[in-house]
Amino acid sequence: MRILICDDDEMLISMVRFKLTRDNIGEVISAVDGRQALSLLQAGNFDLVISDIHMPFNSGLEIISFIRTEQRKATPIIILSSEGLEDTVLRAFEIGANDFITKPFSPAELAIRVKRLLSK
Amino acid sequence: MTGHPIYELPVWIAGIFFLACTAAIVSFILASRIVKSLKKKRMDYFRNAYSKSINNLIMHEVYSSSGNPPSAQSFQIAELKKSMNSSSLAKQVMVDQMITQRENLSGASAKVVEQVYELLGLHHFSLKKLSSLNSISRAQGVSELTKMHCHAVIDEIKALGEVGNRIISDKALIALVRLDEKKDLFFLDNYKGELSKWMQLNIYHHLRDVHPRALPEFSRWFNNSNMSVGLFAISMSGEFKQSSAIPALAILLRHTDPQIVESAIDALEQLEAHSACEELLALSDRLWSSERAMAKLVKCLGRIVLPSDGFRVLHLFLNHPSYEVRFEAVKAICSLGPEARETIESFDEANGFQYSKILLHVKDSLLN
Repeated sequence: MRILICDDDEMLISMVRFKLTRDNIGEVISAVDGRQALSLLQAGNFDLVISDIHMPFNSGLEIISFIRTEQRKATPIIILSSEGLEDTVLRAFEIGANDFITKPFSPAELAIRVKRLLSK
Repeated sequence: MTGHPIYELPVWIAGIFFLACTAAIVSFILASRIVKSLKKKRMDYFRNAYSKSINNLIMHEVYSSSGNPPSAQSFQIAELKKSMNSSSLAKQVMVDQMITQRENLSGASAKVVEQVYELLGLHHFSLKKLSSLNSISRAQGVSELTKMHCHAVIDEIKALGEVGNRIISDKALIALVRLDEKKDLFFLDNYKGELSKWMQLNIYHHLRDVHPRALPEFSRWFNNSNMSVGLFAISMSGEFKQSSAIPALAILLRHTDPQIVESAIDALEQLEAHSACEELLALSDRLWSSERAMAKLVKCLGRIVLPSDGFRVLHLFLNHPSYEVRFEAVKAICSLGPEARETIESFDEANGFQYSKILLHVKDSLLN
């Protein structure tokens, strides 16, 4: 399984990578900004995407929109953001996010949600 | 000609002096850049070295089915302690990384980060900063201890709440709010100073992470003698949807201070307090001359009025002299559904199309 994580917080990336790799969930590929995430998405296939909302260059919402509208793919998308505002959560779900986790979060919970989405 | 050497000598001296100064400045800049880049390299080295160890400690502690045996954990802690030795740069990098992790984590893993912070003795490192003469360092110490939920230092932080330096005392008060397990914002009862926007934002930011049931009833501060506290409490009651505050907010609509009235209108709008509709409507005569207050009132009424009753309530404001108020009224009517939109269009036609521009403005998705 190939999982793409997009977040400008490198500590968070390292923690999620550590957790998902340790639980044998899959190979974790990371992007530290929206632009890098979009080019990785264009270059290869991913089984799941975990993305922050606020990132340099392109936001998480743009990433969802790119996957759903331009690529027309059903890749599961989890939004992992510190912004838990109702409007943002609703907007993310409206445009195609499968799950929304608010930071601070539990890595164990994230791993379970990832597993659940990958098994569907 | 006789005077020439006399003039020449100082010029040479000045030249040499200028060159020496330039060389000194250039060497200083170069040296500081070298020091800076060495420091950055060392920080990167520490960051890379610690990142994996921290993740390892946190994840193994919490999630491993068998768990790390205590001896393995003690060994890892001892190794980390040894690697930090007495280097304050290494300790600072470790503290920063742990804080970043702590802010991202919740539940059991967050607790483990706090435990590891204490086991590594980093709370002593942060605590030392509280007695520093440098106020930035003191503020940093407060911030670190707070972010790592170090409850044992509440007394030390309380003492900082009374120091003359406003930045430190504000930071200390915010720290107390964060560390207070009861979350009752006790300090607001007797708070004498102006509750700055910075403090309000920080308190709000903290309260957002608190379970709604654990939040205090903000209405208890609505009539606080400190106006900034009262205004803050009113806005928080709306922000956290404390519908139990609606009757008290409705009473505040009769307050003599326009700031309080406007704040109460905003809160009632956030609470979608339909029950306060008549009290709000009764305000229109009193607030008619204030453009800002009227715009808020109309916006609020638009949010809480029933669609069947909307045009009756809101058409009164279509004659207001201010464009903003008329705009809010048209916008509110349009948001009530297709029937209300048809009614306002007929009203516009009957009134010589004087609302057509506003209607166009309201319908333009790029402008709204």
